[in-house]
Parts: sequence; structure tokens; C-alpha cells
Amino acid sequence: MATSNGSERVDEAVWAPEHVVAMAPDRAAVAAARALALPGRWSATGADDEAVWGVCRGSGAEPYQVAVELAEPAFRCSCPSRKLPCKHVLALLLLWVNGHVPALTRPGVVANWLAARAARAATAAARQTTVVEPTDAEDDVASRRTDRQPSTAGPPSPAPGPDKRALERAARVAAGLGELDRWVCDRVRTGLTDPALATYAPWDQVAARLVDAQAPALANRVRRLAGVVGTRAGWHEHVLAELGALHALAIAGCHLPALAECRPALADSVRTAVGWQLRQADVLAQPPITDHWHVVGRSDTLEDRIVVRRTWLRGRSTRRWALLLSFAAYGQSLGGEPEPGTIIHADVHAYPGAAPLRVLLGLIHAPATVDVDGPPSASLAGACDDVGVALAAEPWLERHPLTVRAWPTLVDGRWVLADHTGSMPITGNLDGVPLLVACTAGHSATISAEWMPDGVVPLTVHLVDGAVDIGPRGGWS
Amino acid sequence: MSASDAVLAAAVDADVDAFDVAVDVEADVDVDASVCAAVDAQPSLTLADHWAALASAALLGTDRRPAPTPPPGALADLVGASRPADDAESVLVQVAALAAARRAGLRPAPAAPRLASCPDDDRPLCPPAAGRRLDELIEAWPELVDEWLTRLAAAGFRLRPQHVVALAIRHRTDVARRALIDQAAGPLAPWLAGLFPTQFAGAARSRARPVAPSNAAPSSTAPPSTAAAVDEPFPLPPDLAPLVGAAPADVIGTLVDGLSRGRLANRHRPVLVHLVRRLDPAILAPLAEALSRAGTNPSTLGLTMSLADMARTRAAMITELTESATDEQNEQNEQNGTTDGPDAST
Repeated sequence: MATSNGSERVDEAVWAPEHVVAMAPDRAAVAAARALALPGRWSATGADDEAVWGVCRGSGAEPYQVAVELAEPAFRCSCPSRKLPCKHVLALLLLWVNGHVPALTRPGVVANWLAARAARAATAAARQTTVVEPTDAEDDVASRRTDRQPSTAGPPSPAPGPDKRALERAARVAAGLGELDRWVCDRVRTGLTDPALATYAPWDQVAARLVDAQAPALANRVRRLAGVVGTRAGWHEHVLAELGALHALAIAGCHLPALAECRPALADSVRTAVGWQLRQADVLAQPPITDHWHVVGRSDTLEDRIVVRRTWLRGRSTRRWALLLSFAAYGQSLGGEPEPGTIIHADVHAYPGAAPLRVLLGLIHAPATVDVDGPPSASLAGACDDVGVALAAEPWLERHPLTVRAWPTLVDGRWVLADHTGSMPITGNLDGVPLLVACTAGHSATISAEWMPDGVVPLTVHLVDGAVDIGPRGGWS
Repeated sequence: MSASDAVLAAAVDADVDAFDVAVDVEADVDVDASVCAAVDAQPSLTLADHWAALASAALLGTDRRPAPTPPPGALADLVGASRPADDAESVLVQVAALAAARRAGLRPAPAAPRLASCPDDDRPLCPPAAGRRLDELIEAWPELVDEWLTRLAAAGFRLRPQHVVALAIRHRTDVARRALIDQAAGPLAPWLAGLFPTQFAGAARSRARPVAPSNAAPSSTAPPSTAAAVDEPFPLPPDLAPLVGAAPADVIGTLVDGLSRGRLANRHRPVLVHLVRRLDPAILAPLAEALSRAGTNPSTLGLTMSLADMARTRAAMITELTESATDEQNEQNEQNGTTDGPDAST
């Protein structure tokens, strides 16, 4: 099973050309960067452990000063482009990964920039302990795209004390949840065949109201439902189950103080499901979970014009699942997250909850390297148990990761994953299925996927000579 | 979380709290997914029927169809405890509880047999570096993909599955290129085409073969001719045509001179790209070197750098495939019969 190809992967550098390409905001930027990634175009290039820098001869009279801080990574370029990173930054990195940048002591300009960044980071960290981090959670997806009431979506005003503000917010959320519940009950009263439900308008209205009431995660959930009505056989059962979950969450959200008293973890889960913002600093204050994290898969969904990227991790010794969420507006690059098929030695800090999945990355003890052994796998029945336990703790969960040893096959014209314990339907847009089938050649393989209520979405095939990322890339949800 | 926790939660806020109802149903089935399934399975007929009744009530609306009465047992007790205000709320309470229990009690569907497996291809998999090069070519220099494919097959390698899929789907209507891809892909290509007729649609017209039987000798292992079948001559202007077979110094001199004086400009780009594609491989490295130092004329700088990149890329791709082929032969002599791809042990 071990082959000559398998051993080669160990020697790969942490930064490879594909990492640079992955950072690009679009394909055009990569093409432009390639043309610039030639030693003849650059002068005063150099690199050390933390940064790469250089001067690029462009079409203009003034050459561009380019510098990249590698850890974050962070970029600086004197060109006027609004793309981030711009083609000059990408070209410099390509030059560097191809071995055309000499190791040197950094010049003063670059040293100053790095020092200024470090100072800013320190100030920001200090400030984070007192101010709500505005661009943080899934909630933010909703508030960013709905500008109906800038007063509530904007940064919080510093005037009232935190207690008063929290109370005001609780009241606003409760009012919004009450309205949501009345609307949900009305839908069941008049019936799901109501033709108005087949249009986006009523759902959007409810969602907008929830954003105003500062329950943005529920707003997203309602919006996602709008896209389900009438789209496939059995849609009404899916919508009904979701209405049930919304009803449960609305009521639980209105009784948060009582719930928090007897089951604080569950109350935290409800808060998250509703969209309560949590300070990053508070999450980072949670005890760290240190482990070697297998990066098992990645799935991007497009929510309006925001790309939401889920990067799923699995602890090698803790066996815990963890979720890194990141967001990018259209045209911006995501990047920065560890790649599927790597393993990273790091601390993570979990958002509180009954079945805590979402984490923030804390201290990184060793950067991501190729995951030679791959993540541990289960049977399909074992994976179902795993998902079931998480669902019992948080019945409104919409996704949960799993890694199984299974083969893809056809049952009555539908693609499924199967093993000796049974089968599970493959769902989603199925764009990744030909690749899944090609990589396995019909045999069983280690496959990571996302469980969703109507099936599994394959994300990664872990082959002996490397992981193949087959996860969805935006455009559907 | 433990069952007693859930029961406690239900008890604390038992009035009109659908959420606790949901939690409590799970408490009854002891939160363990497998037990959940067992409970769901035993009176499964009644619970499944009841779910259907709830769905049809919700579909028509409780104004027209009253909420079904839950079957005696956990669900009925919990609906009683939550005292719903009306039929709609009763349906929602039951739906919340039942949907949660059904999802948490998730079991796999019946097992399904494997697909008729793809016939073996005993050629080794394309080496990682060459694979990365192909990704780069697809992105930056699609003009070189055909030559890469021809050289890969000539060196005795097979395409990685991800490249088979990407290339076959992209060029599904291009018969000539599909022939090249299929040669490098081996039996995987027709096997996939049989499974995904829509995605690989173009192939159906030129080569409507079903999944090949496993004992058929894969035609693709026959040594391919080194000359690319699709590389039909492309007219070069009279002043450039002699360069194809000219001495390296002449080629490099003419190109560098022409570009820096602006005699060769962007309008010549397709011709020049084609020329670099056809040049003797030995000239490529020095040409790239000379071009990347020659970029002094601002109006042709982009074109010059671009051609330098192409020459460098083509040189690197040829070296990679030639060296890998030699390495592979040495290794084959040492140890015979390694297979690649996912191992089939379960």
C-alpha cells in the first residue's frame, strides 16, 4: 500500500505554488502574476523566516514596493490595485516558492512595516477584551448583506453600560423571536401549499425582521428555506422539519434565562443558533484544546454575495471534531485556512455549546504539514452514531463532519456511499461525484463528508499519495 | 449530555415549551443514537405513519385539517405537558420532537454493492511534480497540454484521476484531444464515460463504448507516437519559419532582437507562442534566460516575459517527464508490481 509516490510528499515545502494560487482573488490575478514572476522583472528581492520583499518593475514609471508577512499572511504593495492580494504580491510569492528569492537580512522599510503590524496587533488584542468584535461570526453574513437598518447593524454605541445593552438586546431578540414564532404557526395554519411561499418575498421579509432583531443566524436559516420550497420531491417534509426547529429555537430563545440556569451549555447552543454575537476574546479565553488536527475537508457555500468556508478539523488524540468558519465578500480571497490533507499542531478554542463544533484557531505550535497517515475513519453506522449523539445534544444542527471507509456506488440511479454496514445518499449539487468515483475507481477509500439532513456531501478523498479536495465551491447551499 | 440532564431541563420549564419537548423525546430514547433508532424501529409503523399525518396536516394547513393526535407514549405525554395553544402549535411541537428524534436516530440505508470495478491499469501514476506542472499548464499555458499528455503517455505513466475528470469534462467535444486524454488516462476514461454519460457527453458520439470488460487488453498501453497528432503545422511568417530548425544562437538572437526593437510585438503573439511550442527542447532554457534579461522595451515587456515563462515552463515539463521516466525504470528494475491509488482492503 505504501508506494514511491507516498513517501515523496513528506519532503514538500509548507508553501507550494498551489498555496499561492489558492490565495489569489481570481484567475486573472494568477495569470497576471505568472507573467510577472520572472527574476528579470524584480530587483532588491529577499526573504527571511517571517517575510518576503522585493521591487517590481511595472508598466508605470515608479516601480512597486512589495512585501509579504508570511505567518498571517499579510500583504503590502505600493500599486493602486484594489485586489487583495494584488498580482505583484502573488508574483513575488511565486518567485519565492520557485527558489528565485535569496535569503537576506530584511531592509529597514520592511522591518518598520513588520514592527508597525506587530504593534497594531498588540493594540487590537488589548482592545478586543473590551469591545465587541464586529466582523466575527456567521451572524455577520446576515448583518452585512442587509442594510435596512444601519443603526442596528453598525458597531455598538459605547454609551450605555454592558448590562443595560445586553438587556435591551435580549428584549429585542425576544420580540423578534416572538414574531418569528407567530409567523411559523401561521404557515402551518394556512398550509405549506400556500402559493406565496414559493416566492422569496415572504421569507425575505421574515429574515429581514430577524436581522433587525439581532437574530442573524436564524435569519440565514429562514433565507435558506426559501430556496428549498418546491425544488425537489419531499421538499415540504424538509421545510416542515425546519419550521419545527425554528419553533423550538424561537421558544427556547425566549426562555433563555430559565434555560441558562439549568443547562448553561444548551443555552449557549441556543444563543449561537439564534445568532448571538460572541466576542472573539471571550472565545479565545476558553481553555485551549491542544492537538494535532487533521484538516479533513472544506466546503464553501455562497450565501448571497458572501462566500462561507467551513474547514473541518479532527483531533488526532482528542478525536474531537472542530469547525473553522471564514467569510469573504465576492471577489476577495479566502485563503489562510489550512488545506485539506494537511495536519496542524495547534491550540483551538471552542465556542461554548452543548455539541461544540465551531472553534477559533489559537496558538499554532507547528505549521500545517502533509498528513501522511490521514484521519481516522469509521464505518457508516459508526458515523451515524457520532452524528446522532451531536444531534441529540443540538437537534437543530444542519451539518456535521464524518470520515468513513466506504465506496461510492449507484442505487436506483442515485449516488450513495456504501460499506458493509449500509449506505447513505449523496446530496448537494453532485459536481464532485465524478471525481470521487474516479479517485476511488469503485473501490473503498477513506472519504470525509458533511452530513446534512437529506444526505452526505463528499468533501475529501484521502488517498495513500495525497488528499483530493472534492468539496463544493460556492454557488449552492 | 446525559438523559437526566434533559429530563431536568424539561421539568424546569415544562409549560408550553416545544424545545424541551424535543429534548425530552431524546431523553426518553436515552440520547444514544442507536437506542433512538431502536425505539423508532419498534413502534416504527405508528411513528412513521404519524410523521406522514403531521406532514399532510401541515401541507393543507390546520385550518382545514386538524392536528393528528399523537400515538400513546412519549410523544403524547410531551404534547400533553406542553399544552399547545392551538392545532398549529400542536403540529409544530410534535414535528420538532419527532424530527429531532428521527434525525438523531439516523441509521444507514440498506447496504449497496460496489460498482463493476474499473479494469486495472498497470502503468505507474503520474509523478507528483509532473501533476503539479499539468495544473499549471491548464491554468497558464493550455497550448502545452497536448505535448505534456503525449510525453506522459510516451514515458509510460497514467494520468491522475483528478486530471482525467478535469480534462475529459473540459474537452468533451474535442475528439482529437479526447483521444490524447484517453490514451494517457487508460481504462479509467471509458469506465467513467459509461458511468457519467451526461458529464462526458461529447465522448458518446466519437466513442460510444460501454464499460470495457476487465479482461480486454487496454489499448492505451501501446506505445504512443512521439509526434503529437494534433500538432498540425501552423503557418509561420516567412521570416520566422527558418527558425524552427535553426541554430540556437540564431533563434535566440532573432527573438531577443526583434522584441527589444519592437519589430515583434503583441500582434505576433499567437505566432510566437506557436514557435516556442515547436522549438527544439534544447534551445528552451537558454532562450528563457535570454528573454528574461531582455525586457527593456516597455511596449513589448509583457510579451517578452510571457514568452520567457512559456519557454521555461516547457523546458521544465520535458525534463520532469524524461527524468521521472528514467527514475521509474530504475525503480521497476528493483521492485516489481507496486500498485497505486486507493487500496481495496476493507
